[in-house]
Amino acid sequence: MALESESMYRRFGGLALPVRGTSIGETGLASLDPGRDFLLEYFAAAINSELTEVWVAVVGNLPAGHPMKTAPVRPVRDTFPDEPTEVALTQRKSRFPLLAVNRSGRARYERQTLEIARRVQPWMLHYILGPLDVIDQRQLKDICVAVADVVEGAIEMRLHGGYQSGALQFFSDDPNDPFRGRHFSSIRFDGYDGPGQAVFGGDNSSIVYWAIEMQLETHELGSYIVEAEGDLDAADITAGVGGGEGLTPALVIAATDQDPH
Amino acid sequence: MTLADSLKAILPGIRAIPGQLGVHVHSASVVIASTSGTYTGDGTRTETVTALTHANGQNPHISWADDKDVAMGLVPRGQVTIAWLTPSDALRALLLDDPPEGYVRLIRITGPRHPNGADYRITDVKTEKALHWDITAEPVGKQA
Repeated sequence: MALESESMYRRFGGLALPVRGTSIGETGLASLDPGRDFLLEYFAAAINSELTEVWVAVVGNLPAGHPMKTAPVRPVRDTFPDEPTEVALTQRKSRFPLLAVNRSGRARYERQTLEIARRVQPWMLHYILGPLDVIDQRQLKDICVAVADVVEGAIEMRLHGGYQSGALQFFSDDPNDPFRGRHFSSIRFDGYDGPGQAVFGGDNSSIVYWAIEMQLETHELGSYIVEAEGDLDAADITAGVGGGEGLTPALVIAATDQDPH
Repeated sequence: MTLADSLKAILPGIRAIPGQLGVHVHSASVVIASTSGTYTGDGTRTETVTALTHANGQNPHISWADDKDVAMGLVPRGQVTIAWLTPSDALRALLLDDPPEGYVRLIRITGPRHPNGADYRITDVKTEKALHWDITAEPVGKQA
């Protein structure tokens, strides 16, 4: 088949070429970037695990009918695997607090080694509380900084007990490892902006959607899929040696036992 | 019963007259879309389409942003207004009640400008008037 004969047989992050149409599930081409959905699930689980108890205690004191009292009552009620822009959120019904993640800014391709490439990717992790009056601000807004601390801890610890029973999430070399964090060779918490107006609110909006925007940076490695290479049956080697002053050709001549011709 | 209630009973018939005369050539519908997977967009898409009409299924008044207003920076290019909709509980539920989390609400307009239908996102629903509501929307997604 044409794809097998033409493909580069190369893996980069979560993408392994050749990629077949049969490997695409209900998520469409989003399955070409499994790391993004993994980060969203992992951080949402860690935040809900650590902060649901205090969140429930505070929300219980809010007046009847307050939007935060709508089930499920937890610090991450909704997740969105893309940038939470105004265009997106005016189409999709979202509940707050909302956690969203997207690749952001300028990614760089560098050399990890002569053989291995590396993509350095900035990410934005958005935690959006929603509109708050001045009383709600005092009661709820500081959850934003606590969320940033939980995310930083979940990265540093490489696991969280509230996600997959505390299994190690990052940096496996095994391409068959089921943990999707294996796609990242490195992940770093860079810092955050806020709490302040969410990105989709705009500078001129009179409604402040309180949010904290966290910056992450990941490294994803690229390499050849070694298993795709066939066995070397035979080789005929001729090596010259030289430098700036000239080349002595065919100084080393060698051949395998099996005749390559 | 107030005067407004009395008028709302007859307004749909009056507002249907331009459609009956053939001058409202575009139709508008509210589309509530959901998908079967974990995140919005995953899996199979299911749509519930409800037409916005006056009496006898006649089209509402639909207009696009004037070139002069766009040039002046007053409105974004492509903004559409669906005007003079008669308020009702059904219309309120359709436009203002929250759909379930993850569901998508769009306006779909079909007609000479969009023969195969085009989708718009709702940016505002003006409900301050007792006898008519207006929807403003901006283009997004499928445009044909």
